[in-house]
Amino acid sequence: MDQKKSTILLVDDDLMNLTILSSLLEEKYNLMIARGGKQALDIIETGPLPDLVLLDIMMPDLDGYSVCTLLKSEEATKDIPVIFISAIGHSMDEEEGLNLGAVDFIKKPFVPSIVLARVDTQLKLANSLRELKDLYSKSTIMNRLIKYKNHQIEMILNHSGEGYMVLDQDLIVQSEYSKECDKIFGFEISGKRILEVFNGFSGYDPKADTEILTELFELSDRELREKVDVYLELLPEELEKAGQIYNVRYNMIMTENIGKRLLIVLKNITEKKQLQQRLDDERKKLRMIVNIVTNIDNYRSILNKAMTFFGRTIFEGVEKGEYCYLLNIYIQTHTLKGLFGQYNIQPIYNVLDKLEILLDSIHEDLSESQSRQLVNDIKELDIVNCIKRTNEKIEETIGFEMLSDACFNNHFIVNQNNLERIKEKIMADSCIEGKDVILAQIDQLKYISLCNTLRSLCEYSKKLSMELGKEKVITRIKGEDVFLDPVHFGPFLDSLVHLFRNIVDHGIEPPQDRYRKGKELAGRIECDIRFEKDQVLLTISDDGKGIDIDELKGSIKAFKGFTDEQIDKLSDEQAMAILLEERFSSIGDENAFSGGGMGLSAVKRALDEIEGSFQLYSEKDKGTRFEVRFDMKGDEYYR
Amino acid sequence: MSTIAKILIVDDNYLMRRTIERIVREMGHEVVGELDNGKHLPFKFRELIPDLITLDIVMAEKTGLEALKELKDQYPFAKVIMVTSIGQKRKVLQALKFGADHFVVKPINEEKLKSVINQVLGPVKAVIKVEVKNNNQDLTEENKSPG
Repeated sequence: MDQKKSTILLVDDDLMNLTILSSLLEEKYNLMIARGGKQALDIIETGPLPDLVLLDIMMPDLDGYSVCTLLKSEEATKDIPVIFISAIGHSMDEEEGLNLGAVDFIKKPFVPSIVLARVDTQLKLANSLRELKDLYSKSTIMNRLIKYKNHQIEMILNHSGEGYMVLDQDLIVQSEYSKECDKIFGFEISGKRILEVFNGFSGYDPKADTEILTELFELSDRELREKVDVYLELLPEELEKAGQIYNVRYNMIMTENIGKRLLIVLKNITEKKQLQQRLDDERKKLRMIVNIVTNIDNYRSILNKAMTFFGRTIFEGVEKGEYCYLLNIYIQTHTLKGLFGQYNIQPIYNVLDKLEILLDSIHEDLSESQSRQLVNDIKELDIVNCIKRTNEKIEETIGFEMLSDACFNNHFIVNQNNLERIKEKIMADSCIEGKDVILAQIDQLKYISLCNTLRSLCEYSKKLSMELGKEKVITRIKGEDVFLDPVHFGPFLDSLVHLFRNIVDHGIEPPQDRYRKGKELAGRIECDIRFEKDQVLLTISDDGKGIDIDELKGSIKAFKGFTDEQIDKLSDEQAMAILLEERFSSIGDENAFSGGGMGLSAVKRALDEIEGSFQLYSEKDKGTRFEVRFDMKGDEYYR
Repeated sequence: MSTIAKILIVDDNYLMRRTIERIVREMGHEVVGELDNGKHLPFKFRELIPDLITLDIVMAEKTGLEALKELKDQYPFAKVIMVTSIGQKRKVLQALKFGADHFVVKPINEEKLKSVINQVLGPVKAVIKVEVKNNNQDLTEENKSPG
């Protein structure tokens, strides 16, 4: 059988008809012959299926109508075109045949050329129909595939946590964008102009950035290839709205069928940014402190220079108004900015940077009014205060005062063993004049600085406060230093640790209590050394919870078995004195003051040894002040 | 890129010129000239034939934009990096339209300037070299003729 030719099944009980039709069609088509309805069905069942059936109506075993009905009722055969060919010739028959699903009706006697033409037409029609169906089913599969792929892409984009959107050359957002955009913008962005979409975002310059975007789409393909990155660099890298920070990336897409499109991708980086900021701050601070501590003398000299320059010199220069002075100021400012920059002292660096920008715009002598204006502008920057404030913060961190000379005058470290060796040599040498004076002075080198002792106690308090779950305390030491003989003053100096421990443990409240009272979260401890006649007055104060006198009296009553009358007569000072008694402060846990007075009594005892005195002032929720006084006589100290 | 490039710095701020010079030297390039205004830029270009110019966008005497336009009209192949302050995007955009090759924002980030210089000098340097030769020849011939 010729594979290219269509196959026709001829069904007729009349041999004559079959002969005529066969001779008519056999040249162009493959033919299968059935002598009746039943045989026709057998042939179709065994296959292969014909492409068209020419069917006689009147047949003895099974008529054409029945055959047609059966063919049309089966899925496999319903699409095979059937043409009735019959002598019956009434229009009623024709109508019935067509109703049953036949595609045509040829009346006998037939004209051969008409039969050929009609068969040919129906075969072509059937072929086209088949092709259409094929195409349709293929496109259905394709559509389903596209839908699936789209869904996959959508899913990836929607779960990427990034806002994807696409702009066309009119700067209008296209309808395809990721879900994250809804979260970022809070409204439907499709079809909106970029200007509307980014409205209210800080970082987006409505005028300049829109101009850049417009220009980007107007560039020729060559320009775009060469300079697209430079243009994109001009667009904002970060946008901010309602406290949320977004990183923005751009990508110019150039395709043949859709033309130029700009892909914009937004990612929320608020958390990352905050973390980064904190880390950076810490790192900078650490670098700053290390720099300062390792170059302390240099830092102090820069600090002093800056204080003089920005406190006075700069204004004298500006008032003169001449360019040469202004240039000098500019260069000095730049140098000092650089020096503070080296120490990573950001606040001072920033304020000097502002001043530099101010000075940068001056290129000639200033008129009197311009000078006045500049003086005002500089005063507004408040540089000296900025330096002071920043330095105070640094002092708090390092734990001693940089600007005051009290704790820092001509300090150097002495090795005690070397000192002993020098002493031995001097004593062994009989030729040295004034030996006694020299030996006494060497002894003084071993004296302990009260300031140094307090400093290390302050450091200890900071550590302790954190161990006890409190905010790190802020400490400050003021006044004039005094150097004490370790033999005489040693026990007293050692006892001070109890006082500091007491302050941190019992005085300074936990952060939540301080917050409730409206205090700064970190407690403060201040030390002050003064000289009053022949006495040293050491004051150590805190801003903690203080002592509740009523509560204290209540405890005293219980402990001492006092009557109400006795308690009423008890003055606040007397009550405080009882607090310092060792027995009172060491009683069991049930007493709110247990342990509290312990440290104090230790200090009191040590003070008794050196004939010193000790006073305690306290106000509830305001804090406590300890005043320690001791005499300075003989050679047990020097100033 | 290992070749030494000749660089001309145009900036009315003395300290900025020093900063750029230091960075450029660190990269192994040579600073062949400095201008504190944009007035004679095309003239200076013809004299020095630098591979690259850094051009301040705001200057008192003649703005960087005017100088750029004048330069590019005469020497379209000149490579120019604009130096700009924050908030001058529109000026930078204008400079790009005039043919500037790139830009850096003050205060200058050293790494950024280095990367921009490399980007601009990168693949195009060879082309400039050819131009330089031609121009040099022209100049030498001019110089010879009177003597």
